Amino acid sequence: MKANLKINGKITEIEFSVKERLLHTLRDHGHKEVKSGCEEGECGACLVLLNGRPVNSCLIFTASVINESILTVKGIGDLHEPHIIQQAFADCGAVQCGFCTPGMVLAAYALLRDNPDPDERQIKTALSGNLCRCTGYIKIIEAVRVAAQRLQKEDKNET
Amino acid sequence: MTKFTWFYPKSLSEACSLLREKNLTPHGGGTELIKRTLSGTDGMMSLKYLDLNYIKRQEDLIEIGSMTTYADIVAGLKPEFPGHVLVRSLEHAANTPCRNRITLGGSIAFVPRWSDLIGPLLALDAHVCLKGVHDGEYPISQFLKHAALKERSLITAVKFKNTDHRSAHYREVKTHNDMPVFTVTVLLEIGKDRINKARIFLAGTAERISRLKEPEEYLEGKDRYGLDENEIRDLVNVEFKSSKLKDIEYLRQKAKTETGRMIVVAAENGV
Repeated sequence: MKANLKINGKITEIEFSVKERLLHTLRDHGHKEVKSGCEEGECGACLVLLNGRPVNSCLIFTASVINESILTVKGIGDLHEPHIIQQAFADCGAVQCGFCTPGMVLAAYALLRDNPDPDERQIKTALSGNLCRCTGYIKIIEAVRVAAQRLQKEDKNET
Repeated sequence: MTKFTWFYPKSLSEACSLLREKNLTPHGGGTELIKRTLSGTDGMMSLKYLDLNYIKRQEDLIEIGSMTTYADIVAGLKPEFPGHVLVRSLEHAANTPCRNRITLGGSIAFVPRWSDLIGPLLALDAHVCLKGVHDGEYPISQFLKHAALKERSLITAVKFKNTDHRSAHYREVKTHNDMPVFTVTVLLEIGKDRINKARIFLAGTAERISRLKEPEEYLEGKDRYGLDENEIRDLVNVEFKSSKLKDIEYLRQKAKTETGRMIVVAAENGV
């Protein structure tokens, strides 16, 4: 089937099979930043924001999200123009192999958009669907905290 | 063989007509459907344009639309009812991205053994609203017993009384976002420090979901602060399906202990 998907703000007509998962559609159309992990909704490597909310793209039929807004980590920043959260992950050593990072960054992005000053429990809840098998979680939680501080500082500077 | 097709009805009447004409599977969040082969159906019917994502309060009733996600149920109920049994159970179910996608209707339709939803809905004596061939409202206990009710009918909402209750919910898991082996749901109606009514359910047992009538009867009329956890524990008798991966005796004992503990928690501390 063919339908329009809005990925990172750009509407594109895409062809996909009727039972295809969003994860595979995204990767087959160049969005390799969406990682394929457990494919069971446990690890969060494939996390994207659907209409602004974190979801596992491995548990979603592409046909169920036509005309809806999909945001991958590249939609918030890249290597050349990193988002504050991505920069904080790099600065805090919260990235090791990097496989879980796109999902972690997007989960943090959704959290900090709704709650600019989260406590540790709230950060852990927001990242509860994202597993890391390299660094452990201390540096990741620290990165989210640092990102929150930097975003607040940026907001103050703007106002 | 019919070609598998997606349908996107814009109204409930269109959805019901489609269900009558074709052999379609209703799609809510799809998190359970995606694991299935879906052979033997003509296709999928997306419910996303049907305005079934809502929480309504009508006098002493709460109605939740079937497309409401776990995250939206928690967000909708928590500010007013922080100790509501659905808040306690669903805010810890699965993980954040899954709670953003799993819908009420999908969970009722499939009732996974580990469900965090069904125990609380049974405790609330909820009714399932159907549209289609089996149009009407059915007690959830009846709905669960009669699988035929799901045929060519659409779950549109769940309704339950807005009771002033104390609750506790326990999930038996190894890690936080595991699927629970079993869940314990305790709902108590308390007046002047005495327990008027108790409803206790264990999901994940050999009979899938067990109602614990013996402890329920024992609790009625008891002082909420004078409960003996060990006495309650002895009244809990549930069985689990044997499996190489589970120690049945451990689960039996754990279920007894956690049920006793949850009842005391609900009675003494539950909001």
